[in-house]
Amino acid sequence: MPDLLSAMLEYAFMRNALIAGLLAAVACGVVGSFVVARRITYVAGGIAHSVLGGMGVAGYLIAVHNWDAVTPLHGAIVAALLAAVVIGWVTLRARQREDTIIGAVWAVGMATGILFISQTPGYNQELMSYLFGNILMVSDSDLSVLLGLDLLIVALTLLLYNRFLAVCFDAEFARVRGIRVELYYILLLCLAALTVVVLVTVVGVVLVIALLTLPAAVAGLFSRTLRQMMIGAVAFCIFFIIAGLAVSYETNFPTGATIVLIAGVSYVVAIVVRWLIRKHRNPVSE
Amino acid sequence: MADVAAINLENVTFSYNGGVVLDKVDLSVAENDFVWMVGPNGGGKTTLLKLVLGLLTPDSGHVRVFGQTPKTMRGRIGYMPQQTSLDLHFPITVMDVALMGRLGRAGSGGRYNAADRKAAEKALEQVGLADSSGQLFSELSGGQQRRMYIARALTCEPDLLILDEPTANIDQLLQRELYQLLESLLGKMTVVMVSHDPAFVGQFVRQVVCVNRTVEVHPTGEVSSEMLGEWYRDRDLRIVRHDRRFTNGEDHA
Repeated sequence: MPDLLSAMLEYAFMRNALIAGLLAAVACGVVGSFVVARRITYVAGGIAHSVLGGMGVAGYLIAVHNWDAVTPLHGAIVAALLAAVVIGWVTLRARQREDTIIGAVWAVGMATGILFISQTPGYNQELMSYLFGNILMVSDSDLSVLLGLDLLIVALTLLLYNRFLAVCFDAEFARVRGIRVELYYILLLCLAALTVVVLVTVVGVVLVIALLTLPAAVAGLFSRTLRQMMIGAVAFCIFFIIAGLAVSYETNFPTGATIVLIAGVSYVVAIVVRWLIRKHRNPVSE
Repeated sequence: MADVAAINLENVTFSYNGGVVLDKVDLSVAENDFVWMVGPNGGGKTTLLKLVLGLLTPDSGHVRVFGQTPKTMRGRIGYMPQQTSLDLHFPITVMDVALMGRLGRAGSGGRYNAADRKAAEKALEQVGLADSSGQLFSELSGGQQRRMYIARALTCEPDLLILDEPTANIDQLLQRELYQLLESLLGKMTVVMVSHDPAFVGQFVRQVVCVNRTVEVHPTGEVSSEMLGEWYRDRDLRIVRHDRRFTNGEDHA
């Protein structure tokens, strides 16, 4: 940790990495709790993988057509929102098999990304950083986009918390109360999409799901309400990201993978701890 | 305005995937009436209620609630569903569920205020769950869950209360309390209740609506409570028993 601290002071990229991690943790805790409680991890997975398509197309436009104002992050935002709306709309309106549609969006998004990346001239080191993240490459302009996304996510969640809660818990009753269930469900998926984009910068497309769900899952073991779960998830996510940064700085391991592994191990430890607590409290029934 | 019926169905037909569930149904429920709805499972009771709630749209005919379309009148309806396929492990307290009855009310911009909390507390007290308001939904028994849904419907402070089998899974003692609660609502709001249990309803029910693809209405003036019991038993004994076993089985699952 002292090494990490001195690295923070010395290198701007380490500071950016830490700020990106903290921003990611906020979005991740808040939206991840909804995703876990509503059991739409698979939806988030589909959105996450479709992001590769957006980044691939953006990278192609930058390299081939000199779209200087565009960054891969912009492409990721567009692709994620598009995937969220398609998945949400198809499941609600067309009554298609949800898992089939999600699987299709998942793979078609990745295929689009791979195709465009292959057609982009130059050495494609970027594919690996899209897939597995590179928190050490976060630029100042990326940070301001992440901050904007964070503010949007937190503001909307605070404002619409009760509606989101009702739509997630009992959509039919919410509809009878005059809540526009479809609108709020798709809006929630869009928030999940934006969160996925934030997390992709930290751990990449492939590992997003772990970071989106594990902190909320760990917090869920020790909390009673969604509110508590969100606060706990933010705290756990901050811990996982800082610990991952520190370990990877010491060992030179890939940062995204290190963060996810720490989260995974923590989840297992948390399950055991909770089991021990319950056994201690209630030795007969367990 | 005084003559506007709480519920008015005119020549309503509804079918699921080609199978006719309700066939040219006419029904009128006056304001502040108490209606007992009976009929075999699959006879269309829940479908009829969902038409009144605007969750379903009829193939033909008109549904009016307080003289308007169901969707515009939703704010005045309190609804307790029969079966919910809710996630039992959803992290939510009894109070939070009861508060959902306050959603979509004019003035509350998505946040609950003190009046909302008061209404929820009152409703939980009415169903005997005042002490459980901080409990988790997942910690409730089947009967407690039913009562929580009734509280949520009451929290709406509705003019029309729709209860789809509120007595299922509730033990005898609580059933008596529930009927006392319903009796206290008499004349204050319109109540439509689906139940297979004629024991208490006969005492204060004003109209019996039998739903089985078509709708027959029997005012209680014509049907004494003894006759009601007889009539119900003759018609539905087999079905009722089958249904009871079904719900019991579910409760144990």
